[in-house]
Amino acid sequence: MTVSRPPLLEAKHVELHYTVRNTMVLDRSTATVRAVDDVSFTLDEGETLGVVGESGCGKTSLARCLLRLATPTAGTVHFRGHDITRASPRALRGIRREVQMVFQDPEASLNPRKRIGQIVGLGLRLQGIKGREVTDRARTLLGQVGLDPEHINRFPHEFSGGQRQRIGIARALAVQPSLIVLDEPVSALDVSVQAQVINLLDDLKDKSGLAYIFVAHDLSVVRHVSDRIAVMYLGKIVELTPAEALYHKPVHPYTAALLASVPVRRRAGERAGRGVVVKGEPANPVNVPSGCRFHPRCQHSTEICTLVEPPLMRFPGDRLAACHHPRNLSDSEVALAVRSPLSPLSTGGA
Amino acid sequence: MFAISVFTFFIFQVIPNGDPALRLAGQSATPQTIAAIIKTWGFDKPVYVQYLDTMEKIFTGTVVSYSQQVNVLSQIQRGLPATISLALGAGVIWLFWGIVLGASSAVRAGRFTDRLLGVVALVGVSTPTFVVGAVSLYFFAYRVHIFPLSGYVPFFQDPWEWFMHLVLPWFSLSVVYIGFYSRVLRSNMLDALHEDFVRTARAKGLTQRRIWLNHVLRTSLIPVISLWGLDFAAVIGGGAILVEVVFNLDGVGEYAAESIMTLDIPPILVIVMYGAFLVVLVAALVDILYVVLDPRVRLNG
Amino acid sequence: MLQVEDLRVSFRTEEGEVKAVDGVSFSVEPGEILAVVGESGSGKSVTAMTLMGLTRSPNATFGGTAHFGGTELIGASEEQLRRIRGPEIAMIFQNPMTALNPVQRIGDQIVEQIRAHERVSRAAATERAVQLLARVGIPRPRELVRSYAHELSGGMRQRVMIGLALSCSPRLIIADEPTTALDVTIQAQILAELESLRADSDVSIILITHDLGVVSQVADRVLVMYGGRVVEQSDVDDLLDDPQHPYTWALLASVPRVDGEKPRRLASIAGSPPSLLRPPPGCHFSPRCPHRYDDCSNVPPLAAKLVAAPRHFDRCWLTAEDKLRLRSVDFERIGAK
Repeated sequence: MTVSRPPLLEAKHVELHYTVRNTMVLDRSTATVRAVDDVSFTLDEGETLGVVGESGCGKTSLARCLLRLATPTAGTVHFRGHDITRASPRALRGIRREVQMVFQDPEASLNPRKRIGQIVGLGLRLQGIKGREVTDRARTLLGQVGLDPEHINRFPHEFSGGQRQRIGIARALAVQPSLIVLDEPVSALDVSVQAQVINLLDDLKDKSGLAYIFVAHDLSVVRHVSDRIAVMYLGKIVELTPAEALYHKPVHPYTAALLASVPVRRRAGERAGRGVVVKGEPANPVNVPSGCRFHPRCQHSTEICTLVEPPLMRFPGDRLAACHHPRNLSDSEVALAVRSPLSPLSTGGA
Repeated sequence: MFAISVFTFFIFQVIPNGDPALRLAGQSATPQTIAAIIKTWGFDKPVYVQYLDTMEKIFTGTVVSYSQQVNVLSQIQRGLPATISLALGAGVIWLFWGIVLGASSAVRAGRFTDRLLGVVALVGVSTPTFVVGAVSLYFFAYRVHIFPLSGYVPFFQDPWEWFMHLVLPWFSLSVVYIGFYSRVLRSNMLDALHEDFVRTARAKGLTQRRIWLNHVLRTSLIPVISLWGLDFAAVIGGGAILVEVVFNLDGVGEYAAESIMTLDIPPILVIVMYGAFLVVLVAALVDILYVVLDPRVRLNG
Repeated sequence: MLQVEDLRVSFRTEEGEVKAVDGVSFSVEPGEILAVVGESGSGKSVTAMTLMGLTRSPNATFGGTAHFGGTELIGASEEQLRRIRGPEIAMIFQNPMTALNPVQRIGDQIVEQIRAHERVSRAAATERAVQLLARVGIPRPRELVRSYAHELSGGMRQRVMIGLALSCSPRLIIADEPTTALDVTIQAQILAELESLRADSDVSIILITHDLGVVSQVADRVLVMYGGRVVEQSDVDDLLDDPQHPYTWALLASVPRVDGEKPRRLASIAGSPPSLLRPPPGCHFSPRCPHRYDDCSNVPPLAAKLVAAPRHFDRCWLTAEDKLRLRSVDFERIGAK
């Protein structure tokens, strides 16, 4: 990280709350869903940030805020210094050319009545490219994502799931973006095909210096592409750590739990498996627990966890975690911890 | 409601040949009479003032029709028992037979019974109601005197005659709806058949009968019931115009028909508003019913 | 306990005949967890559902046999099957949200199954439903027995499905991707539930999954399916230590892992699974196999036993020596193992 260059993307205290209304005829009370709750991070040019968490943790809502597909209820998102959250529709169009999105379900996100040449070509035309060049460039893009350029006149349904995801990536690449937000891009794919797409994303990044935000529901798929990984729980970032450090020495107990939950081979003679790794299920984002949101499920939780929300602390090795009882750290590392400027505003000191 | 009343009012303002003063005055009217009528009825005022005046009369219950100059609300009240009788009987008939035929069609999907019922439903849906009415009237009342020719007898006056007078109208009105409902239910059920929970029901080792009744039919009925509520409201709101006219039931629908033919704006306006009100009311009731029928609605919206 | 021989299932479609299952043979012993692993379209789910008679339709044709206890499942009458479903073989489905009836209380759904097979009073069946819910870890079972599926979380719903499957004490449970729709922490809980189930009773489980991680954690034996056929079958440790079929070893290498060192690159298998409408002649994996030769594309390989491990079969034309050599080259290339 160089200090002089501004980050590509900077999210400051982003919050997305929305109200839901009870549909009972006699009870019209409302509740607030805290989908994203004071999340801050920065992303450098060419960097990949993995965003991981279970369903309901706010990872997809966060991704939508970054493209302003949803407008945050508080906080700002700056892209190359421009505030996306307050940008005019006109300015937003310019920014959206630089920030693209790839969705989980390639089937639903590609217009079934358009040929893939048109799907990919649209982004090219938006840049003022015309005529034959559109077709030529579209062919090149298809080749880049590992599809046969001769298939340019086919429709999305003629492709398999993995191929459709490649079309989605080609479409995103067409406008030559500097950041692609990938929302669970491989979750719907078979393992062998999943690996193809992950490798493709890796190659594209090496070649063109793209930055990614890679949203996923488990830690295994993001490992291969991520430089840093943010773990979210109930609308908050609980850990934000360089990737390999996270896999070997998770600081937050929730990260450790996520890692331990990935099924692995049982040791010889071990019959009954490992038992339950984490008890309980995430709380409802309408009614978040007091203090640390993970405390009802955490095996290390003490009284302070139920009362005080832990601030996001920065530990040596650029590891950020919000926990009163961080794991895998030496006493000296804990002593060197300082409150991170990315920490949510409301958190108390301990 | 407001939009509907405005829309209806202005539609009849722009219809050619619709000057109400001329109609009120009659054919041999002198210009003086016409001028007097225009003055007393306020036709010279701006359109929006006329509209407001009319609305005020409606809500104070003093609105009067152009043609016979009788109170519109009392006219509607007079027609209501016939219309409600028609709607209740027909509603029960079409719901019952719609379910029976739709369900049997779905159970036998693709086979002869299903195809036959499909053709029957198609014929039912595509035969205009007044044709069914007229033909049945001809055969069962005129040629063979099973049922009376037309008219309405209040229930409390003579329940048997009430019933006999209504059998043919009920039947005529139901035919279209039975055809429609049975098709809707059939396709709902065939969709439900592919639901995961029906597969679970099979995997549980339930009998076919139980799978169909408890799992397929029950979930498929929910949208049909809400549809029924709206159609039922429309009939009470005077929507069964043709049947009421053919059988001379003298209900709300027939009153609407007469008013339209004489371009009598106040009753049309009132009936349209009353019908719209009923539909809105029933839609709200259906929403409440949904909460009972479909537990999913109770929490998340 | 269950003996499946040369099972074939094909469906007539508008575009032609789809051979979803193409000669599958395996057996299930009492008290074991047999995993059937494969990608979408491998025929794993169709195989499982065919055992329960759930794939029967006018467009489906069946071949081969499946003996369960004293019954031949493939040719059984609907009534015979109905009696087996529930008390003998029960099923757990992938998506517990849609697999439970949304407008029926969960307790009633369990009671309904019990009363379809046993003459017990409604009250007694309800009491049993409460016990079952308690056994699968549902809190406040007496209260939640009256809830609807949408009022429960995904993990709780899947516990209800397991309770439902257990309600008539079946001898075999077929679990079709039971954790795929769940979050990882919940998946771990459900897998633990399945394991404790097997530990407490001698019920056998056929676990259908696409996740080799799940297989390695809970299964005793494993069947690897590809394009409607079993390509490899063995004890789980043998398969993980000594995978014989090129598809199996590619699959093992393409699983992203969170433990150990990060490999330089994930192994991927070029291309996509075969169309069962027009499957390739010969070995179904041959078009994607980096080690194929002429024979592979022409003649389907037979199941061969591994000499060293008699319970280990695979269907590949490569010789044992070639496999060993090629496999180590493959793993070397991607930096795994």
